[in-house]
Amino acid sequence: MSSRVTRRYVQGFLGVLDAARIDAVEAALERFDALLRTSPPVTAVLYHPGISRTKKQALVSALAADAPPELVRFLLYMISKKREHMLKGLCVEFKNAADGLRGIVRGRVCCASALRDAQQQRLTASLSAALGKEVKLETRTDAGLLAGMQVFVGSHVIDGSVKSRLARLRKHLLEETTQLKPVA
Amino acid sequence: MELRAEEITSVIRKELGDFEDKLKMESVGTVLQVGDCVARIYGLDKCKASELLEFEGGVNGIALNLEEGCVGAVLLGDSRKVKEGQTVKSSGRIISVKVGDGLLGRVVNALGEPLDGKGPIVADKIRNIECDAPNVIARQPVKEPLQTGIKAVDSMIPIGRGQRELIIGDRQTGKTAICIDTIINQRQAFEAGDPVYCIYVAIGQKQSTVLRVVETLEKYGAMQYTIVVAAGASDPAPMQYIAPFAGCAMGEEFRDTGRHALVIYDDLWKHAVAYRQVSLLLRRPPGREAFPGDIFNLHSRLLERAAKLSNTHGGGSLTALPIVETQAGDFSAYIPTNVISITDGQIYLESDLFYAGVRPAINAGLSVSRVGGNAQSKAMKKVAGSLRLDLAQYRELEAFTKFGSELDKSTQNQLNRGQRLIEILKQPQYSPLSMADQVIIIFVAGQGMLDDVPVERIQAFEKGFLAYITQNCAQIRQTLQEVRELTSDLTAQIKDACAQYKQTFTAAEET
Repeated sequence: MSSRVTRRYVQGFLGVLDAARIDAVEAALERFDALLRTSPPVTAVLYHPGISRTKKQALVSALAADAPPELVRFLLYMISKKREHMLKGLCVEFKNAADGLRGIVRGRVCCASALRDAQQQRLTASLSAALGKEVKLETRTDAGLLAGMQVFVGSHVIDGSVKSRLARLRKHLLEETTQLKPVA
Repeated sequence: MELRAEEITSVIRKELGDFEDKLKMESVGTVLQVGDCVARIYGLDKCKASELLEFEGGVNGIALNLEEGCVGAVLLGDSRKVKEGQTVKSSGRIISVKVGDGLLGRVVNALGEPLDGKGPIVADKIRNIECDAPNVIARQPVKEPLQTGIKAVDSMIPIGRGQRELIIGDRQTGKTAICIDTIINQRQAFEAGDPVYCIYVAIGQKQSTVLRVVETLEKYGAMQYTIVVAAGASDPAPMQYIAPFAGCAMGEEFRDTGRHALVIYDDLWKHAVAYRQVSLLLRRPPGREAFPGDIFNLHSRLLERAAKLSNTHGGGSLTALPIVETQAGDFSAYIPTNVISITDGQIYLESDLFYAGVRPAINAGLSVSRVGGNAQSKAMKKVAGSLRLDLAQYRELEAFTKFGSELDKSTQNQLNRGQRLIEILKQPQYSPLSMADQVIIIFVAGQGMLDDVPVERIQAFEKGFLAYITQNCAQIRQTLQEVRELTSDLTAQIKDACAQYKQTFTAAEET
């Protein structure tokens, strides 16, 4: 629920933000987000129902003094709209939306053994070509896959691991319905 | 049994040959929240409504709510196996069940899995549980009768093959009994080689009740052409929700292969309650009586699949007998009015009549069949016309019965006739009658030939008379069954037989 509302605020913000300023705002937002996560007193003040919004706004403007003025205005605006509890998820949503604007898709690849650089470059290149967008991959190894790899991009997966293929084969052999003829 | 290693190897080799495993891009999501047979899933971008979802623990689900950023699904299985954070795959197909003759005589759950311990179901086809109803071109008007074997129904509220007839009444008024009798009555047709395959869908009932039904059907040899689909009271609500659709898919297989089938939904009130539970858990807005807005569509798309197909489409039929239980006689509640308006007629059962000893407790005044009349045989149509009229007149005068002898002669005659007709329409459970027997007995009662038999002896007379016909003039029954028309020759023969039997009957009474 809250992420949906946050997404709408972020989309509105990106709509009025100068495209050239996105990187600067993103960096500042990351710093602000790190501050929120590392100092509990700040969140305690922001979430406190007894502290007035003017005081909260004063705190945020002091903390984000070096940030671009558009971001500061946006943060103050969110507080004035009683959305201060959404500041925590703001950075993730902003990054996702900014990636969308830049044409970047983030993905994750899970392999049985670590990929060599050349392999990873080839994988990234072929995925980028297939999706028509620039793909940024995060790699992970999992010996449980036996061999092969799983690629997750957005809400899609290409599952070429031996573990899953064996599971599919098992299902095919045991389950009758997969072999039956469906009636149109 | 001896197993040979080569055989097993060859089977495995064949199966492996069929196995295709192409690398493809699949749509996946993550379970956000799970509980009460309902899950919310993040992701699943390309998911379609009603799509079958595969959860990690081997549990399946159906996507019902497609929201911004999340999918609401119902779980068809043990929801404890599904955990937060698990991966969900969309399968690109909708849920299907096995269909065909292999299911006959079996008791299965809403997914078509056996519950009777008689081993796996042998079937070579599967069918989607949700599909479009036949369109106008594929249909033809109802024209063949579906004999229930119950005098009151076959004469006054005839049901045709392909019709949808609602059976409605309070608890304990004999709704299920009518359906079970109808199934039992199909045995003759089955043995004669013109079977009507029956599917009994039990929704939200006690397991013991379902067992009793199965035992009764077995006892009367009716299981050989019957499938029982059971989603009991303890099964998760989503299973109860899909059970009638699964039963309908099984019936459609018979319909589409040019055969005849009868599907009984017992009952749609509990089905609506299960769907309400699922809908409320999925946070769909509640409407009247807290039922969701699409409850009418749910029942109408289910019942629309009952149809009589045109000859070019094989001429098969699927008849539906939905049951709706009313609460304290409230026929104007939401679900009863909905289903009344969808079906082609209804059989009203009343507890007052039931306790007064009129069983089946059918209220002939309120029960109607909108299309079945076309399917009635000419003989039955002839005797039933005057029966309706006589009964209506009797009901008008019924209030005067207490005055007894103070009434004029013609009124007294009408009352006498009415009392005997009511008596004739009573019928014990599990004793369906053939069309010929029904016509004979209703004919003699309608002609006033029973007016001098005491009311309390009418049922004994009926039993004896039908036995007499079997013994002495079996040709009447045979001709009636073949010609299906009451010729003047036949009426004379029936009248003669009745007069003769009456002599022996009265003689036996006097001694």
